Amino acid sequence: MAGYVVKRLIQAIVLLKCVMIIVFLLLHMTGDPVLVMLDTDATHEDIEHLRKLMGFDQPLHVQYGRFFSNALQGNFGESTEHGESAMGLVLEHFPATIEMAVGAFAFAVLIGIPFGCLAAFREGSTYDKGCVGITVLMQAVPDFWLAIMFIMFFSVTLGLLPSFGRGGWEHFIMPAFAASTYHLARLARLMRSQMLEVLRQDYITTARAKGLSEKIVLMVHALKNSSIPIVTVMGLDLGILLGGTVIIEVVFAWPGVGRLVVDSIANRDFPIVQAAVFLLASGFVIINLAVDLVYAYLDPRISYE
Amino acid sequence: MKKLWLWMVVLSLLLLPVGVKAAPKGKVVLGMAGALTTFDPHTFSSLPISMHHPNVFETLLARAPDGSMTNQLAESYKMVSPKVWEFKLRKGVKFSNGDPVNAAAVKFSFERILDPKMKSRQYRYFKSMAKLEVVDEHTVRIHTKKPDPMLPPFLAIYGFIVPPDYYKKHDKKHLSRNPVGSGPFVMKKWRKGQEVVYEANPNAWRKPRVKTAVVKFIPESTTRVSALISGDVDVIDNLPPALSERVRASGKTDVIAKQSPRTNYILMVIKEGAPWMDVRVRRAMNLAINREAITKNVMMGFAKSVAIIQGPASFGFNPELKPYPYDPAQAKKLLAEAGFAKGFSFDVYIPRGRFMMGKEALEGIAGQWAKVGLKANVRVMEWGAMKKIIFSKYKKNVKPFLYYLARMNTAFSAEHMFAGAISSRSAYGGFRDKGVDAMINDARSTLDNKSREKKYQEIARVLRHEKVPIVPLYQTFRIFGANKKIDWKPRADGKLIAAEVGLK
Amino acid sequence: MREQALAIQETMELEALPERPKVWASLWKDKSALLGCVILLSVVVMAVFAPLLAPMDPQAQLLDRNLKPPMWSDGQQIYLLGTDHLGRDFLSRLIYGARISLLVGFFAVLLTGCFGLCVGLVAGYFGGKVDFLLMRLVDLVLSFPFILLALATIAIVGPSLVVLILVMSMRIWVIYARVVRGEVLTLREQEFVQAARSIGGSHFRIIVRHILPNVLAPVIIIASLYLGRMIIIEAGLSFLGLGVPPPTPTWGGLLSDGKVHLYTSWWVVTLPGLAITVTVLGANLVGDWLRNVLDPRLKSV
Repeated sequence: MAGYVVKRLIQAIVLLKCVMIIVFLLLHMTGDPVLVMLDTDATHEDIEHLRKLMGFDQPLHVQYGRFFSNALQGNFGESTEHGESAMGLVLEHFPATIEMAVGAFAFAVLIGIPFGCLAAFREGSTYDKGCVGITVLMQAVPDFWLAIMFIMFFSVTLGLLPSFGRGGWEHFIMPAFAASTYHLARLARLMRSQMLEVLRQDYITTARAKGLSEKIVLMVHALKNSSIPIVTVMGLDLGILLGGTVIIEVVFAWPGVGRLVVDSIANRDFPIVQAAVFLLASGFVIINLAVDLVYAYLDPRISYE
Repeated sequence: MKKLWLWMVVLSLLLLPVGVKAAPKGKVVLGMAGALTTFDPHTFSSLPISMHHPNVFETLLARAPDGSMTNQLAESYKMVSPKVWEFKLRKGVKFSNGDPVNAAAVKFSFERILDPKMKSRQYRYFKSMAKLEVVDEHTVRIHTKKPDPMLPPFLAIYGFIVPPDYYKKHDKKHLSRNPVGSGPFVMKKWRKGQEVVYEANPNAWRKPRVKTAVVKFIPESTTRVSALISGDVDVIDNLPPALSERVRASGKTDVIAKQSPRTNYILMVIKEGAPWMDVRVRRAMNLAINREAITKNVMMGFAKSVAIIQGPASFGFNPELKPYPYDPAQAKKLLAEAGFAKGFSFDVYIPRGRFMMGKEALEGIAGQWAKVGLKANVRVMEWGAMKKIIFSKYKKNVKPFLYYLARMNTAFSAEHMFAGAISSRSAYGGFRDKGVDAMINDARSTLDNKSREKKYQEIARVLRHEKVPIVPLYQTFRIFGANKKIDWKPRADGKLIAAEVGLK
Repeated sequence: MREQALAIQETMELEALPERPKVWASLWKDKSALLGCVILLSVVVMAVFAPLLAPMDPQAQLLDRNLKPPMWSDGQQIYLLGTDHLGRDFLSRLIYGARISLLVGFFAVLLTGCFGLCVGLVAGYFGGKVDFLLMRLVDLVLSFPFILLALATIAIVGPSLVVLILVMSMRIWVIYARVVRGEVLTLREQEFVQAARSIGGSHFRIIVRHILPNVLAPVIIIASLYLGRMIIIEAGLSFLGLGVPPPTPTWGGLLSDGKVHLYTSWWVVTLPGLAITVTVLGANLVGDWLRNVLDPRLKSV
């Protein structure tokens, strides 16, 4: 077990190194950062002057060597736009991103799973049909369009919820829900079909005769066995939510890492992008490891070899 | 609760006789599109920064809301000799930490901008400075390397004065988050990407109009409008023209708009192999555009056509010049004369999401060009990527292209615009003409304001009638939405400065 | 280990796999699938015959006729669904928009399908180092924030239809690769494959003849289920300004152009949103049905 985790961690470090090299090269291909730093009233001399000062006139491998030896010590350099530590800035924006990702994830799990289960219990009922219909629709609606409609309806027409920003729970409902729609619907549908399968197992049907409490015990067991796809999807969802709520962050003026990264790419603020990608990729690695460990718990036949 | 109200009434009655001198009251919430990256006043230059920093810091000179030059920390200034400017400072002004605003602070502040270690992006505005000299406590002299009549306009935008002791003592990171200046506000709280809270500065000689101003950062325009209508914010900037109707219709909010010095134009890479090497083609391209239709229907009236690249508020503006008329027949004739009766096709670039309705307007213009046989492929680019393309314009293997840009003429000066778009030294222009270069250099080194203005007007005339170096389009308005309780007049330079926003 | 888990689960379920019902009969029985097919087919017809169906040139502008409401609320009855901000016929733009949206969706799905299939086949069949390296490549792609990749790539090469399709494909192929690999892992051990190997069949032949036909079902299912997702992602990228450049109309582009008219001209926002939702709905219903018919185990896709 411990050996397995160590092996995975070594793999993770290699993975992160590859990610960092790709990001570095990708960013430097997007063009000269100095061009973006100065407005269009700059002359060629002004641009050259700043390029020398910023060290962008040096060859690429020299710049990469400097970046990498600093990054090894956890120093991603100073943001060229904010004039302070890039990692510090990313970490400052990270709580908002986690709040949104975890919130959207919680919506998906806390609403999606019970709804999916209930629908399965009442297979064929109006409730079931409604559930299936709504979830199919939820998977088909573009989330940013939904977000704009939410703001128009709940903030402007009804005046119930604040239209933007981060603050208390009331700020958080609309963005988190908008970000979760696709994932919520997918989880609910998956849960429904998994549950249907469980309910059709022989030992569950026989257990019905023996009384409710035993039925629940059995069902929990059956669910545990068939929940690997659900855990897989949940892991994927959390990963996607951590790295991919940019549009929702923009629409709701949510101060998360996604918006910071989009702005930083536009400004060619490489240190911030590098720090953010490192953090997000690390988050993905951790989620992946956690999912694998949960597999082992769910199904003891899976070994750590 | 009732008692509280009573107390408030009594208190306000007690405060009433103090009148204008009373400490500012109330709170306004602003929703702004641009993000603020730092409060260090000397390192960066950007429009959001130039709208936030004047709340906390002050410059020697400033622009009054109507666009005219005024003194701020300077009480008076004069040109002692062609290369020496002398500034007398306002007496008794203190920074928010109690330090005095004096000649030493001015010297320190500009030396901080010029210091290569600061890597300041404001350096280019003040690179003509040779040295600063403290004459006495309230007199400072700026020596320039060569005569620089452009110095005062830039002193009204950047060059914020800070207390030397505080800025020497702390490191960069601390200073970027904890500004100390002499402005009407102090910065109370700043959550990056979210909000800035300003509080009235008790030491200020210019009082803000309210006690507290909060600026929220809202990048998405529909959200900004929703926030305004639902009452979450009181003023918003960058209101898209299409949403102005809705802001008017709400009953609680109003549209405030004013022509800004942001000129929109299409530049051409004029080099061998380009059909528009021929001045007749350039003229035809101008005549084929129906500027009125664009400003009326796409800009919804929030833009005004220009003859060349300046608006009426700019120094050196030539009032006799009229925008190019819409004359497709003449355009066709000119194209035929130049040997392009069948037209030609070309790329025209525009940065994504940077200029108000820019993409929509350019699509409209491309449609108008199509009617005279010019096929324009509109290419919407990311800003940084587009700059890269612009910089490759004179390379041999690069096909000549057109590009749409807009420039904010915050210096209100012909010089600033010609140097940035017309002069062959300009990094972003596509026109190279020795004669025009000589005229621009001659005007720039003319120290007498009257004759300098004449020279700029003459350059504008030559460009409009003879050289036709660009396709000038219009100046866009800066459009704001405001709650009806807000008392605020838009500025000529298009900036939204929180300290100037008051309550009715 | 995830692959291992899925493989175990799949072998476990393979025994319980129900008989495959007749495909077309099930379509008539499954009303929602039928609805999905009808929707998707009509959108495809709309896209293919756009030049015949569109009442006007989607590019033709009439600036002084901009933002005219649909004909039932406008007296003039010229424009069935009104005009956009440049006075272009909105119905024609919607019809032509179906072309690009479907094209982007189909090609992205096709491209990722082929690439993911190849990677999955190779990784699963050869196993060992090849498998290890390919699966780490999959991890690499998954750990990369997608939007960032899209932003950077489009910043480098500029927006175009091809770039958009490639960018969207970069992320999705790993899903095929993983599923196909899992399938191949179990197939490899099956008797008929072992038999083919023992009589000396070449690797290529075994893969193409014996394994490929057995993994096509999951590929088709994933493709149909991701078609809708692709259309939504295209709209999202257009919303961020990264979509297909003008004047080509796409639904995502129409939506992002129209959003500022949200309060004044409802049709330019609502109609493209509706078009996307309905089409994606159709694609998803068809995907669900294909899955139920071909391979009900693939629920988590």
